[in-house]
Parts: sequence; C-alpha cells; structure tokens
Amino acid sequence: MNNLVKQLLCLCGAIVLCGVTLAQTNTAATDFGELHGNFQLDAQYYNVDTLIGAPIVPEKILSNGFMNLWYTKGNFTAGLRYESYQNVMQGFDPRFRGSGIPFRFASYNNQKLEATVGNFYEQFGSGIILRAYEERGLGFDNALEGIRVKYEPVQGLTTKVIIGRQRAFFSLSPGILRGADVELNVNEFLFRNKEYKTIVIVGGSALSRFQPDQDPIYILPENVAAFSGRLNVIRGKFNFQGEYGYKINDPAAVNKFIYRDGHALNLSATYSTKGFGLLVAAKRLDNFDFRSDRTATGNANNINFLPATTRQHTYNLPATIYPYATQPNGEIGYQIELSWKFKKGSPLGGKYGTEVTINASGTNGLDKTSASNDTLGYESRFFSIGKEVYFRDYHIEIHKKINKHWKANLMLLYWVYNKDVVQGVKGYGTVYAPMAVLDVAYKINDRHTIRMEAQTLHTEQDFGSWAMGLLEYTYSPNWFVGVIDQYNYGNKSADLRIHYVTVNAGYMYKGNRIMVGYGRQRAGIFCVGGVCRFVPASNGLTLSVLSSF
Amino acid sequence: MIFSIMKSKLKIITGVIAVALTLGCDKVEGPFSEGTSSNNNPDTTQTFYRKVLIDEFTGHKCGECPYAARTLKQIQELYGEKVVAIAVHAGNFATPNANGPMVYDFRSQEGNQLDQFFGNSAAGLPNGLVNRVNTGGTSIVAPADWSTRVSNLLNQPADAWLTINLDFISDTRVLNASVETKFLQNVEDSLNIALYVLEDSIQRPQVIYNDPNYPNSFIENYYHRHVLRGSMNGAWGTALSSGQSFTSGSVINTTGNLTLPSNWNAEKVSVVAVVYRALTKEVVQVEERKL
Repeated sequence: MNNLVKQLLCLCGAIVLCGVTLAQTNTAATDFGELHGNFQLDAQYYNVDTLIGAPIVPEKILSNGFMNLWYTKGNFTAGLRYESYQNVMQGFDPRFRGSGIPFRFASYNNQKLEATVGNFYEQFGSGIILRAYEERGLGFDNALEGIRVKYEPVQGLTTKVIIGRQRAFFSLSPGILRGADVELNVNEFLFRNKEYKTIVIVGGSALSRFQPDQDPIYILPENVAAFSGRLNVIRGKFNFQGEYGYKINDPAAVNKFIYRDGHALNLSATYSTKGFGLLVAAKRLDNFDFRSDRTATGNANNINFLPATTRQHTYNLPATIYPYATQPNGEIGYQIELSWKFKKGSPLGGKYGTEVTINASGTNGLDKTSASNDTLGYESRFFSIGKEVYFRDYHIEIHKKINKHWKANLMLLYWVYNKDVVQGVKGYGTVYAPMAVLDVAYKINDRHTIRMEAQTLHTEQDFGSWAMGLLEYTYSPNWFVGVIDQYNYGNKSADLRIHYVTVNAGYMYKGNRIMVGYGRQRAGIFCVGGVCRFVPASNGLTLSVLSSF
Repeated sequence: MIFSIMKSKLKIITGVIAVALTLGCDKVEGPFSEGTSSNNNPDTTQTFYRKVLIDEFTGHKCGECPYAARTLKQIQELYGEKVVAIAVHAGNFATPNANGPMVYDFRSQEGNQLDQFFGNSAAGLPNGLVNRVNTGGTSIVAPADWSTRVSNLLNQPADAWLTINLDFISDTRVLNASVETKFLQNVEDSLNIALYVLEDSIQRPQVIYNDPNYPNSFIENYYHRHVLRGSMNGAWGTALSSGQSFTSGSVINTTGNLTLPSNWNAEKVSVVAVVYRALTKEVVQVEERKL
C-alpha cells in the first residue's frame, strides 16, 4: 500500500518536472497544463544586544524558506512544497530544523468525485473539530497526509471523508485521524433552483483519532472521537450561524490527563445593509483542546481550530503587546459589533462620508466546581459564567476621508487583559490598558503617499506604558520605506525604557517583493497548553524575498 | 411526489450518518490507572538488562516544569533503577535573576551544550530526551510521552552492561571513577562514553503554576533532583575505543576524575556513565553510581 503511494508520488513528481520543462520550452501551448508557484525566503543576521537580552546566535545567520509548485491540467492537480530551515529562525519551533519536501499531493476530480492522495488542508464547518491549515508566519502547519475523498451524490449534498496523519515538523504525528463531513443545502437539495427567501444549510461531522495506549501508568482511550453539528440560516440581510461540538474523554497533556468530556458552542448572527451592520456572537468552550498526539503541548499537533471571539487587530500596539489567545481548556465569551456610515453631505458625513465602528467583547473563565473524582477534572454548569475575567476589549473606530489628499483613521480602545491566564504565567495579574491609535495618510499625488501612525498604550501594570510611531513613504508602485519605533517609556525600571526601532525598505515588481530591515525586536514569553516558550529579543538585519508566478 | 424524493434522499443521509457514527470511540469508565502489574517492575531474575536514560530539561523559573519532575518520579517509582534521570537546567527559565529569590545558577557548560545541540529549551520547557533517540527529525519528547517511550525501550535486550567504581578522596575532594563496559551483543558502530557528575536534592526555590498548594506560584524549599553539575570528560565524552567493532563478551575500561567544587554536597553526588552511538547520539546503555 505504502509502496503504491510512493510510486504514485514519484509519478506525480515526474509529471510536475515534465510540466516545468514544457512550460519553459513551449509557453504558448496551453495543452500541457499550467504550473504556478511561490517562493519565500526570510533570513536574519543576529547581533548580540545585552540591553534587550538578545542572546548569542552561534550561526549568526538563520533562515526559513520554502517554495510551492502547483501543476494543473484539466481535472488533475499535483504539487509539492520544499522547505528549508537552516537553522530555524529565533521565535520558531527548533524542531523545524533541516530541510525537505513535507508537502506533496496529487488530486483528480471526476464526475463530482474528487480524490486526493498525499498532503492536503481541510476544514469541517468552522473548524471546531477539524482544521488542517498553515500559518507560515507563525511556524504552524498541521497538513494532513493520507487520502481525502469529496463526493457530491446529488445537488446540495456534499460529503467528505478523510483518513490520514498530521504533519509534525518533518515527521508525522502519531495519531491516525479518520473523519467524515456532510453538508446539506436544504434549498438546493429539496427544491432545486426554486427561489426561496430563506436559505438553510445544515452540516455534521465526526472525527476519530487512534493513538495506541502503551502508557504503563494510565489506561488511556485509544480511539477518541469528536462530533459536531452546524446550522446556517440566511434570510435577506440576516445571517445566523451556529455550531456545537462534543468530544468524548480525551485525557491529554494539555488538560492534565482528566477524563472529562469536551463541549464547544459557537453562535453568531449578523445583520448587514448598506451603511449599517450588526454582529452578535457568543461562545463557550469546555475542555475542547483536541490534538493528534495526546502527549503534545504548545502550539503543535492541533486538530481543531477555535478562533477568539474578539476582533483581530492589525495596528501594532493592540496586535502585539497584549494579544488575546483562545483558552481551549475553558472560556465563555461574547462579541457585539455595530458599524454604520454617516452619509455624504450629512453634518457628520461631510463631503466623503464617515464610517464608525463600535465593538465590545469579553471573555471569562468557566464556572467550575470540583468533580466527584479527581480523574474527571471538574464540573461546570453550561450557561453559568465564571467570575474570573480573561479579557475585555471595548473600542470605537472612526474612518474619515477628509479631502483628495488626506485620509484618517482614529481608534480608541480600553482593554482588560488577564496576563496570567492568557500567557500561561503567574504573578503578573491583570493589565488595564486604555489605548489610542491615529493613522493618517497623505497622498501627495498618484505616485507618492506618506502614512503616519501614532499609538499609545497606557498602563500601570506589567511593563508599563508604550508609545509607538510609524512613518512610511510609498513611491507607487515599486518602492516603500518605513520606520517604526516602539518605545517602552513607562517601564518602572529606567534602564528598560528602551526604543525598539526598526527600519524597513522594500521593492515590489509584479510578483516579486524584496524587503530589507534593520532593528530591534522585544522578547516575549508564550505559554500554550502547559508548555512555555521564550521568544528571545533580537537585534539585526533582516532580509525577506517573496516571489509568485 | 416530493415526499418520495425526500424519502430516497433521507436514505442517502441516513447512510452517510451511519458511516460517520461507526467511527471509533472508546469511553473509559474507570479504572483509569494501570495499577502496578508485575511485568512493569524490574525483572530481578535477569543479571543484565537495558536501562533507559531520561534527560529532563528544566529551569527553576519554569512554572510548568515541576509537573514533569512529578511524571519522572512516577516513572522511576514504576521501574526503579532501570530508569536513570539527569536534570538539565538550561535556557531562559534557568538563567538566574540578578537579585531576588531566583539567584541560584543550576546551569552547567555540559547542559548548555546538550541544550544547544538538541534544541530543548528553544522548543519550550519542560521536555526531555529518552535515550536521546531521534524519531522523525527530533529527539525532543514531551513529558507525557516519557513513560511510553521508556516502556518500549525496556522491552529491548541490552547491548552492554556498565559497572561503575568510585573513589572519593575527601581532603582533596577528587572523585575518581572507573567504568567497565562489558558487551552482551556484537555492536558495529563508533561508540562514545560520557561520564556526567550529578548532585541530587539541592534545596532551592522553584516557580510552580496552578498548584493549589502553592497559591503564590512559588516553592521556597524545593528539592531539585539529579541536577547535572558537570562531567569528567565533557558533554559528549570520549570515544569508547578507537575501533568501530565490539564483540560480545569484550570488556573496555574507562577512567575519569573531577575535583568537586566546595559548594557541592559530596554526599549527594553521583556519576552517570552513558555509552552512546557517536553518530546518532542514541544511548546504548546507561548506569548510575552514587558516591
């Protein structure tokens, strides 16, 4: 069986190579299919910087790089990715060290049946019980290796079956995953193309992990299954989505080997019309960390994906100083977002209109009581909210185009961040932080733009207050240069009131981007699921090359 | 008409759901523990058997690390002297603070070299090595997997047997060790022998998270077990012999010495001898001898 797969993969490799040669020699002929891909290299030269605690890097230069090659001809697709980490850059998991081809696949689509062998990414529903994906920038990749079949027996009904093991760095995670997903578009299935105001889509999935129990101390379940059901109702401007997941006993390193069942519930409703939008969402997670290796900790071997019920910020200080991370072991939270646009010509809208967004979100711990038996962990009432505050984010954002040259975005935020819980540390307590962001862009003419950002984060706790400034100049469409300064002006210790300055310059041309940077990056401690990782501070020259074709 | 369509379609759905539900699912209702079955305990009827080395990578400022130490203790209780442990304090969580309670330096040059090579502290602590076996490109093993790895390795026959003799001269504090390596199987490989020096039960503070007994996340008088302090022949030791072929029954002697610094408690010192494959770093046999 294994040999067969290997032979198939060799064959695919040969076809891909063939494709490359043909693409080079005969670009006009489209009969030979198409080859696409992309390439990225990130490298850094590390300086010793005792002030910020940047350690000695014996290699001096570290780099991460990869190339994707995708070949398509008709219904056939094959591809591979080569990756190289020589050696792994700081802040990434050192188990990536080395190089190889961890991702290769072939896929064929024949009469509503699509079969894939090799590696693939997949998601059931919102990912509550399965999401295989990659996040290269964070060093995360849990691609599956095995077989996937997608089949649409009748219109409106799609089914997926997967069998495989997850990637774990340059190897495979020990658990074998078997899963199935069914999605039914009720309208299409029952009423074909008849127009109805209400569209209903229901779905269900199951996933089971097999991992042998050779543990001499515990009796562990070898087959651990999780199930989920979901409902999506769309009616005009209204959209409701809900998904519930259940997992049987899954004693694992991340839940400290308790035999309790797991539950997850995500609900969200949106109403959106021109110039007005409303989002209401609620979530409850209870012992729902699911991994393809019960012994795994940290940010690896995750089977499912549980997004945070908070807005994902992109401005520097809100995004990097105190980012919230979902607590899969248990949390209960909500989010409400209201956005509207003051029309052009109205008193608050001015000449171009004004967009306003108000967002509030909060997450607490579960309301837990101890269980009758220690091995079962704890008990928790489903709809009861725990007293411990994990996170609060209240903010307002105002976006305004002032005239042909000026554009501004103002954001005011107030955060409550339980550092001990979110970062998995102790003794830091909770951080209370009002923040402000002002982003102003001045367009000199069609080719030249200057953008400025000023941000502050004010707090008495932890490292104290921060200020951040950015100045960026773009010469369209090819060049940009920018400077960022993160300044920890409020640090209690005067010698640690450090400027973390980074200068970046880049050149873009068609599918290529080359970026060079120099500067300092601050250190951080991240604890995920019972493992603490220290991302050291760094000082040095960075190079980033991107290309896609 | 529409109902008959629905009926046939319902059959499809029920079929699909039935397939989905047949997926494996094991509910453990208890007991949750294997208990102490006799085959787990050291088989004292055998003269020679395989011993397994666990390198526990830790730090006194690592709040999750005491849990790995508890796991290790459980494994040692189960397998007794068949499991030899070395605690390697390395990385940021082992770096002492300039002032305050966490000023003690548990690190050693040897430990730092091992950490640099295997990448343990950068991968996040706690973690460890089990016989330093590399599986799937990494030797790092999560604490929750230690017992499984140990139990699998213990089932394999031993290739060699080590005997350590120690001689300590208390006025000069010179510790002499002589190690006899006796081969029980033919081994065709380059082998090294490393002689590590450990100090046990160093009572110093330790950070601990989420233990209701320590609401301040701090243990004042924590016993730091089997701490790697130094070595007699470096982090990687020396070649066991210049040859690459060892026949069953052959015996090789290795000696080493170290002057113990005055702040080490000689009564708690032990020597761990590790014979390993020079290329893969995989441990062939290990032995510990307390002073």
